[in-house]
Amino acid sequence: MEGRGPEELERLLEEARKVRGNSLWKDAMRRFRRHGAARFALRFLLALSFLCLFTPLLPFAPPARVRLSEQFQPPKAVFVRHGWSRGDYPGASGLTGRMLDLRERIFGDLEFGPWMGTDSKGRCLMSRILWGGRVSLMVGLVATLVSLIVGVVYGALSGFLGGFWDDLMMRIVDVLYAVPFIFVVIFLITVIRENQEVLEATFGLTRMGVFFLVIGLVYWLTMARVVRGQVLSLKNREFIEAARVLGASTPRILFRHLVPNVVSVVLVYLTLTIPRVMLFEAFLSFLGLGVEAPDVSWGMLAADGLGAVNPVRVYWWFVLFPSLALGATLLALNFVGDGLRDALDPRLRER
Amino acid sequence: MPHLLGFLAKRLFWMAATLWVVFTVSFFLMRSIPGGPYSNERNLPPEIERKFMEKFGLDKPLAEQYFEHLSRTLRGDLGPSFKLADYGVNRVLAEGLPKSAALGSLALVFALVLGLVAGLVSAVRRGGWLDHGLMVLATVGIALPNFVIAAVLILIFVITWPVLPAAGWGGARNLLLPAFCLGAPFAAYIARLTRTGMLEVLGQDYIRTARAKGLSEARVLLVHALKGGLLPVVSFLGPAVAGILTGSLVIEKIFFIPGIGTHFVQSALNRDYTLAMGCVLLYTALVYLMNLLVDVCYTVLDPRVRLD
Repeated sequence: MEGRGPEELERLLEEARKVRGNSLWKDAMRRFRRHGAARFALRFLLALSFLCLFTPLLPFAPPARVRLSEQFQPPKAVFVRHGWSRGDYPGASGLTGRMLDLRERIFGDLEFGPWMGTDSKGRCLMSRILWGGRVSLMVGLVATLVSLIVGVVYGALSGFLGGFWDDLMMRIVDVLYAVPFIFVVIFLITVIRENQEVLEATFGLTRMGVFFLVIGLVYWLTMARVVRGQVLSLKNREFIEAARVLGASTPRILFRHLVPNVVSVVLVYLTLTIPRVMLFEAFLSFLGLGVEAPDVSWGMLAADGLGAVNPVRVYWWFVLFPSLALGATLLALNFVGDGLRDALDPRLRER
Repeated sequence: MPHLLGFLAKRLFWMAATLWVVFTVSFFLMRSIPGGPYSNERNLPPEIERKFMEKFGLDKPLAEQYFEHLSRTLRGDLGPSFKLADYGVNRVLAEGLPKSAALGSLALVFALVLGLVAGLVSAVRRGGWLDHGLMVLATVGIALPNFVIAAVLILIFVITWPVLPAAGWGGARNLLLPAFCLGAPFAAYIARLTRTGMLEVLGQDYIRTARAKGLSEARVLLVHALKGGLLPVVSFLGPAVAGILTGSLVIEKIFFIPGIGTHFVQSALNRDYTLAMGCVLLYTALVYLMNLLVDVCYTVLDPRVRLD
């Protein structure tokens, strides 16, 4: 060690500065980009979300406008006409309302379509699918967020506390796991629908709000388990110890070493939860227990389409397009989830 | 054996506890409705509503109702249906259960047979086009909801190329399409699990030993490897049964099969609380018993796993 003067040490430091280690995220990004299907699926989802977000600006017919004279029209390529009216959106206010006003200023009363045909009540199917997408995607995001918050807080608390509290909290989760929630939720929704006015008066919860909450509260169990397991296994790992030995402060250990590791697992689980939540929403709406008219969702549209199947006339567009929208979105979400899992935790591959 | 009995007793105790929680929560949710279950009926004169309340014992204090209902349920009587006149919940469920059971077991058979064959083929032809094709199909099957699969298959096999009846309850032909739609997502899962399990097992020493002994490839695969490769599939059967029960709600609705799923959804839509509650209790018990059965099977297949 004696041969090293200050200049040489300076040079070594300079060299060390030039070498940048690949961070977890950079590595993950590189792996994710190599995953062709996931990349494509992500682009598809971004485009779809964009489209659904700005649906009120698009020149299509109002989703709830009934025209019995235009029942079951097959898809038409070009069809521009007058007749759109802002009055057909009774519930729209806030940002959606302002977008509709802007659309009126741009396109006037012009409307395009029906590019995907019309349904049993002469409503433009494309417009319904886009508006339904807003609801379905929103349910997926908000309900997953609810499950994320509950699950992460519960799991992290259980992992950090350890001992008796950990045992108790996990035993509660075990008992809840055994309950087939879907059936209980259907029962719950039956009761809640009856008491909607009471709920709205006392807690200020709208029908949609209750729906988000109930679905979100079903899916937190696995998240809680995953987070708890991760926290427990990380708490005593060598690299945490190493960081502590090197003199890292507690906040630094927490935010630089623990959080990124938990976040990656949570993120993977999150992307895999969104399609499950959306599937559950579609399932409930399909049974007539979820989203209610005048709101639209993909599950509801699929139920409408299947209800119109008959051997005399085939309204294929009425069955195909809603199923396609839901199917493609769920498939894309699954691909993104798989891609993220492979990217963030290559050890989990093939499981 | 005494170990097994103890295990069963413990699990049955937890099952009873779960059922009791579900019962209690459902009961109080049901009774928390202001005005009672008939308040929303139109044109119901108050005296008739009073008679109804009397008939179903709704005029008594809540605690008394609870214990009465609980003891009646414990005796195996789920009470009268609120909305279907002259029908007890027991009778509705007894009529629906065999149909749902037939549909569910056929779906499970489809899921197992298709899933195992696809998984085996995939594992044997690892990396080939057949493997890739089957696994893409499995991904699609897992992602799509069963009513989307049903919609596509109805368009193909009922409308365009009418070989199967559209709906209803009758012969085995009526069950084919619904059972396939119900089992398809689980077949996809099982195919993936079988493939992974088989690949893991095929790399192990005892398989090489079996091959070295000069056994035929079929015997190595189907006798030696399959038993080990099956383990993940067996542990998936519990969730699969629960999922098939859930999926049957949708499938029974699409294909007009008068099973318990249809009754459950109808009771939820009609606000027929006693019937809905009976269904929830039945589903909970079924899911629990199936999981128990799977756990016992698992220990038989894999002696390393202990019951606990």
